Amino acid sequence: MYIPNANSEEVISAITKMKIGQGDVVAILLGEKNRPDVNLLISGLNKKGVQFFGGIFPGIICGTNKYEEGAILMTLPALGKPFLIRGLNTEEIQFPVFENKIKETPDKKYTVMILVDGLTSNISLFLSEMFNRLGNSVHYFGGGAGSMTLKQEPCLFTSEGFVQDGAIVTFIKLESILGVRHGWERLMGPIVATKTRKNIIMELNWKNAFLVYRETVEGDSKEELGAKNFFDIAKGYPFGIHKEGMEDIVRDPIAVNEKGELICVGEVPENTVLSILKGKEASLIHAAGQAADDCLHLMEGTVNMNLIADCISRVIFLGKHFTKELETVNQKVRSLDDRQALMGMLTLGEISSYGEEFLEFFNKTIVVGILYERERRFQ
Amino acid sequence: MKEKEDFSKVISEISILYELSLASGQSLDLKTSCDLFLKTLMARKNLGHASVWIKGEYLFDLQELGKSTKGNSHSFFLVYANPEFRIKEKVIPPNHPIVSILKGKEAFSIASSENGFSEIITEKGIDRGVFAIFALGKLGLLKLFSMTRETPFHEEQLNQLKNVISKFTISLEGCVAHQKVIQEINDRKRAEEALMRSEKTAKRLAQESAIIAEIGRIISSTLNIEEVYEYFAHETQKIIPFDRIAINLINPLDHTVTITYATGIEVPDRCQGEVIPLAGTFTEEIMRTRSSLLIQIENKAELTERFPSLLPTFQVGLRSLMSVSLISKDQVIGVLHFRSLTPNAYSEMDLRLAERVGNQVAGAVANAQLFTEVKRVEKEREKLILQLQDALAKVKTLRGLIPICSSCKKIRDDKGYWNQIEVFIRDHSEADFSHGICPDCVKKLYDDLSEPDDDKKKP
Repeated sequence: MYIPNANSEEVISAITKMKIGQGDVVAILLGEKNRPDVNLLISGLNKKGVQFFGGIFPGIICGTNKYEEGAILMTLPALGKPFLIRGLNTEEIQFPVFENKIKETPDKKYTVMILVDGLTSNISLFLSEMFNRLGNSVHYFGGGAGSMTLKQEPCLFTSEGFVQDGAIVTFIKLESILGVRHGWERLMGPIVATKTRKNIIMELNWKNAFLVYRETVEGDSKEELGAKNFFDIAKGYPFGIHKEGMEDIVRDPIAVNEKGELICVGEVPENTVLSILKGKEASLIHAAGQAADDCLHLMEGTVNMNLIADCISRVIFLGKHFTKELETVNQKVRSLDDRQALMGMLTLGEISSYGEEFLEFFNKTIVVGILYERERRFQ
Repeated sequence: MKEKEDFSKVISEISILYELSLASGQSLDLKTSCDLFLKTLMARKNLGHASVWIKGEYLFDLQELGKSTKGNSHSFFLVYANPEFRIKEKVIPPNHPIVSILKGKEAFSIASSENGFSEIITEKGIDRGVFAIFALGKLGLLKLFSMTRETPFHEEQLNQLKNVISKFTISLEGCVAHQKVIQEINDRKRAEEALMRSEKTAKRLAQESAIIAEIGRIISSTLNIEEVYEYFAHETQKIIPFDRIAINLINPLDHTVTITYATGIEVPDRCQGEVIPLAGTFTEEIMRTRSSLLIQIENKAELTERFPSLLPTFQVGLRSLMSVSLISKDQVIGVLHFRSLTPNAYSEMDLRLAERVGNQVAGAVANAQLFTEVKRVEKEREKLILQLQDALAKVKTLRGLIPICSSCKKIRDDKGYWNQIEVFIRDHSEADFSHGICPDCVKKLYDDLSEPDDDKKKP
């Protein structure tokens, strides 16, 4: 459900009117503009005894529309209340014990929804630890919350509080099929990130990172690249981390500092082999359709929910054509069940496992997730 | 076009192998080294699980694994797994199918559709997918797993990884060697520390023994123990610090205690020389239990309920109490008390030391008591002898040859004077005389006054 006027009273009132079953949690996705007083929202929902979690995003998606304000409300059948994890900015992240939350069965995997502060450090470390604890016994879907201003502030909330540098992990009692695509193509490479520090690339090919990056980008864009116009031009030239047999994992350079170091969304490990990627509207939209197709051909149940985590930078890059991306995905997923609209968020980084394997943090990527209940087979 | 694609594929593969080769050997810590390399490998190759198994003979620090290499030096121990969620087996024997199949090979791959797949599984929750197993030189083996693959890794893919894994093996050998050096350094450090500790202990014991011997020497240097109490206290302070020390001796006959010696902080009604009732005292408790007592005062109410006589001690600020019995000939003859203002000042070790001091004191006190008793008995005996001699002397004078006048019965003394017999006897014995007249003399002297009836009445 989308509600355009997302003041705290409206949101609480809308939630109280929703059909919330035993064990359900309410997901509250807020657009960053005209957002409600989150603390009032928390205390109001706590008084009503509602289990909930949510985040503030650069935008939210309902059907073929994106909104910078308002709220998307969804009820999800959950395995217990959401876990709020704090301190992702430290390297000693304190994890709750949730390894025994689910019992793995060979033919049934539940879904874990992860929201992180998209502007915090150590997101890859956090996801690596999550994978270490749960492995591929579950499917992962999620993304980074935060503001398009790139100024870090509290952006995630549960009944326990409103935090920054945190993550929310919710075990959803539904199976899922995930499609992960981006459509960015290699322009130049390979280049080696010879010196990095978490999400900062200091050197590429043993030279100043900005100089190497600028040479390629200016050569292709025919525009002069500097600190002031960095974001506007770099949005079309992300980095790709090589991954065998898959699309590259995208890292989005968002700024350059006075030392010529490139600041990315998400970590780039030292000695990572990269390419500079280039996007075309058509390839991006095509990739979004492929992500939906990846879900469709594996589907074997009753659709409960169609989710999307789409990178805000795709909106910036595609501009007015972004609607086409949503239309493509929406049309495909609704082909399974027309009653289920596409809902989700525009994110600062996306979270999913590639198929059944390693859990990754992506940039400039679209993750489509169909949550479903397996059809009972009578023998 | 195809050529370009092939070239691009090769470049991409070489790039990943380059990154992987740089990811190994970044740490000398076994687990960190595995983590850095295998996380990169899993991410780039999109794998679902990786684990490293090392032979027991190459492992030194197995405490963390909760296993012993004793008798298991050829078994393979799990030293790293990602995700840990999948861990089931932690040790596999040298004849495990994985080891048998790998024997003589550098690597092999097996898919769930093939025979023998289930025998390779040492993890939880795996029933399909593909394993790739690599030998890590002589050290052990590496297991990689993909859940999404349906066919085994091709020979080309295994060969591509062999060189990188060979480099990883060398880095692991470095880690193991480093671990061995660390282990040896730690062993040496521990041995040195143990030696230092034992030297320190020996030194302390020697010092304590020397002081206790000195205490023994001091207090047995005289039979008058009171002369050496001060020196005894001074020496004892060297091994057992105190703010007050006292020796209380029990007077069993009158159920009292004499504070024979006390120095340090004064406690009202507990000064040296005072005699107090035994009942309700700490000394009585020790006499009853015949054991030493160590009390750290925390609760005034509890203390005064149990030992009301200790209230003055508490009131002057003494917080640690240690008392040992003085036993001689299996009898508790007294108690040696140590007191300190510092809370929890005394330990069990101090108590054992105090008991050793007490043993020295008990013997000396008993000897001193015996000496005093002997002297008292000797004195009494001498006095008695004198009295007897005196008495004997007197008896001899009367028993000797006494010259007496046959007529008047006067007796001549040593000086030649004639004395009335009653005067002589009075002077030479404790006898005295009362004078009267016997009936015969009455008859003879006062015949006319005598009455026949009275005679009958008189003896």
